[in-house]
Amino acid sequence: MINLLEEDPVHIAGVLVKAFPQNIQAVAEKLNALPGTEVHEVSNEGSMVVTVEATDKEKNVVDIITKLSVFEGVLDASLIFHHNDAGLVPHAKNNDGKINFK
Amino acid sequence: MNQSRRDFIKANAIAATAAAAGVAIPASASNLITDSDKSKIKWDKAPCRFCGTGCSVLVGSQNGKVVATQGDPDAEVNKGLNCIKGYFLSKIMYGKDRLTQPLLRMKDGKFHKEGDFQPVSWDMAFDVMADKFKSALKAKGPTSVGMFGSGQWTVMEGYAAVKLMKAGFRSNNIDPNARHCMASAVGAFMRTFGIDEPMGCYDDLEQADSFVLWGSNMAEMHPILWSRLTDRRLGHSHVRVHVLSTYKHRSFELADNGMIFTPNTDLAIANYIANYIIQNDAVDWGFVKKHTHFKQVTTDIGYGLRPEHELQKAAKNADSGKILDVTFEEYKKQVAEYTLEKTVEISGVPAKNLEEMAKMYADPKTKVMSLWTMGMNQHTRGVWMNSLVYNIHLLTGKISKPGSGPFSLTGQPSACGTAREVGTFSHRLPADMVVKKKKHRDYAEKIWKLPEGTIPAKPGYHAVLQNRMLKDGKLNAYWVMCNNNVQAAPNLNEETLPGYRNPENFVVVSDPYPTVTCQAGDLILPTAMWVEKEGCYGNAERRTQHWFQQVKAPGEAKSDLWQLMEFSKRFKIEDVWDEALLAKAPHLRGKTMYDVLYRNGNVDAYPIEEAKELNDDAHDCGFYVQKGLFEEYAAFGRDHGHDLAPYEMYHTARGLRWPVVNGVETKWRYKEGSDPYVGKGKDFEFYGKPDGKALIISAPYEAPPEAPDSEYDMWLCTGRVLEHWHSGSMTQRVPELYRAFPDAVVFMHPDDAKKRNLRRGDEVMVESRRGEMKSRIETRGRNRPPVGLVFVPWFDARQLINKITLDATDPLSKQTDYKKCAIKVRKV
Repeated sequence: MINLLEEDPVHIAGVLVKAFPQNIQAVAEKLNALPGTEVHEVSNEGSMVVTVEATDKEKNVVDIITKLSVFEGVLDASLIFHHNDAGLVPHAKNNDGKINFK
Repeated sequence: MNQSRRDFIKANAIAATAAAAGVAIPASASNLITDSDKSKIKWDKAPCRFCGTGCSVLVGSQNGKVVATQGDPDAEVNKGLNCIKGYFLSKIMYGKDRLTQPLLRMKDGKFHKEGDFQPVSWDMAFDVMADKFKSALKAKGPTSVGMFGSGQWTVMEGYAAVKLMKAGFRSNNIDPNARHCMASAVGAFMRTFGIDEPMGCYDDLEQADSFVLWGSNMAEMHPILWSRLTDRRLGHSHVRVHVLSTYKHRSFELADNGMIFTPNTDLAIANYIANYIIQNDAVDWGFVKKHTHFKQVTTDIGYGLRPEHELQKAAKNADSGKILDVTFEEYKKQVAEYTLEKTVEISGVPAKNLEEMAKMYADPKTKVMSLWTMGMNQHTRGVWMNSLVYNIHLLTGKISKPGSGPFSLTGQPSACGTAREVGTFSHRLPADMVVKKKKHRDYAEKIWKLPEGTIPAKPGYHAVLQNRMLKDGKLNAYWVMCNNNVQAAPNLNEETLPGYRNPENFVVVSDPYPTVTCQAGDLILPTAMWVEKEGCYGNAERRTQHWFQQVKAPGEAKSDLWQLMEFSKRFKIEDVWDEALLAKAPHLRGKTMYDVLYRNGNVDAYPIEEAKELNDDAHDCGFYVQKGLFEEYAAFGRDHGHDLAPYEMYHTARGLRWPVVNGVETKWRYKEGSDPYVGKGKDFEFYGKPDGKALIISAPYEAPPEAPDSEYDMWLCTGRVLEHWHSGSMTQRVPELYRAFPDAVVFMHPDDAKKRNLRRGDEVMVESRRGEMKSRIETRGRNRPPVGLVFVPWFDARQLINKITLDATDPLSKQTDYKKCAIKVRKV
């Protein structure tokens, strides 16, 4: 299904961005227009699910996230998920949903 | 289904983010698989290494290295979230210039103050160091040795250091860098309530109706708490956010009521609110009569400068912390001066905004949380200012209740746990005890199994005084551990550097990286950090959090704990104690300081078998040293309001908030029903005070020590930025964070720039009466100062803003005011 050897290196982050519900759509549109940024979900309560990807122009996703977090209308941006090919897959959970410490 | 790897990873990112946001997962990501078997990563928990929020992170290690971290979804504090710094925690240990062996300034094969740093063995390092400490002790006695410690020490390290200095060397010259950050908060907690640290907890963030940020920029400095506050505001339309600051910053984006005030006039604003509450008959008399007393401060107390400074000589009651009794009528008269008109005039905040905030505080139905950090603490009237906010909450009875209370945030991971609770200050002992009180010294000596009179009664040199005493040649053997005080301390040119480079002094610096403090020292000791050792931290909501060692430290780097204990072996007790004290404890004769302090039957009570296999400090000692230190320390606080749980409990819980009584943590102190220490039928009891009553302490507006004039015509405010933590010694070594904000800049209003013929990006010289620094102008971006004020972050070791800052302190807390001094800016 996924062939690690055939793909280009990947560097992606998932960022939870917050804005006032009354202008979240406008902020989402502006964020979507930024290179490397994609808004996937917009909730009525003021949250956006955003992914950030390294591009030719912006090689450092952290620079893009910084830009996001100080963007006008953005109240808060939390980095939730980060992957680059030097990095690794997320942690494992047990069946009960708790983290497995071993 | 043919899914590209990029799509798969993206789906992971979307799913994780959507889960954290609490929004429905998009269909594209619903078939997310996390397969751990394929990776050989070992996951464990640890509190974050940076600020005082105390987020729990999951730490993934592989082949002896930390390779990944992520927010811990089971942690109450951060619920799986991380700020950008926290996210890159895995990289802080792997900077290219990590120190791996001791380095000593040498010429011709031996120590020389003007020599170059050369690698030496630990043996040689300790030989030279012990020799210098012994000669200082011999020549001038215990007051000539000292230590500058940290709110980033683990609880055990801070505790071992206090014992070493106060009982071993018998010197109270130990102070933490938390003096620069939390001392004013501590001072006011002790004066007002008789016990340190907040009564409420982070749960208040989900229950308050209004928030007031007194000078804090939570959006950048405490992003995870800010995210909880943001959720509360966005999810509940009645919730209001008031933000007070001397310049506009990121937190203003969410503010319903944003207010820019002239520096130092927060004193007037708080008094105006108290006046409004009284004038509008909003005092909660049931609460005030039963649970408070009225007091007033002694005024005109100076600015904690050197005694020969003009301003000190001019002060009528320099350094006086005396408080006097007043009646409610007298208090009412004192705050009546702060009318709306007068407060508008002093502060520059429009009447409408001030009134809106005052009305909210006065409304009995509005639950309100007041939050602050450095703006209020780094203030020459910091203790007064903290009290003025307590006054507002006490007058209205809005305290110790879910959603209502004053909340002092912290800047370091264990400013509370280590600096404050352990008592690594020059005047303190564990569990809020102080060296001045004989009863407290007796208590400590009993737990430590040491003879009566071991601990000196006179408080030692505090942070700013240590640098002055180094310069004056009175403090000669000095150990700086787990902080970067050359970059952090004020007035670098006139106090810090002359002190460190004084030929009479020998300065040891323990750090993982070659900071500017290391470079100014004489001996550098390479230090293990964070999960390279076992430890615990205490966060701002009284939560104690433990972690296990997860990887080995590189090269010969050793933990602060190992360094402290190993060094103590170099001294016979006869080297450090006088004959009079030895005569009281003849059985200790001939023993080493290590034996006396750490092999006392308490610290070495738990066998090595109880410790993990990977626990270098314990295995070097031959016993479970962290548990022994923790349990001996916990004996100070159990049964009188500071109870900690048994050691093991912390390794499974995501931290517990003290007092922990019968295994149950305490969320709101002083309130019957939620705090087991409150007597039955009392409703509220401020049991830190003998009669259970808190103090409403009146204090006026007084002018700051330095304000802009015709020559130095602007205010300077210093602080942090989101990407970097404190002096940047860790975050500047994470490539992603370094590139995100590589150099400090001077944030300035466009009109001020224009007036000085400056454009964005221009190189400038920032000058004060004490020094100058080159930087660049930023007129846009995240911080927008008003005309007449600039903001400069202090993380950048190549732009040392503390060449410029004034070493004025709060005379009561001895904490430096980094938030206001007079400067000028000119084009280079």
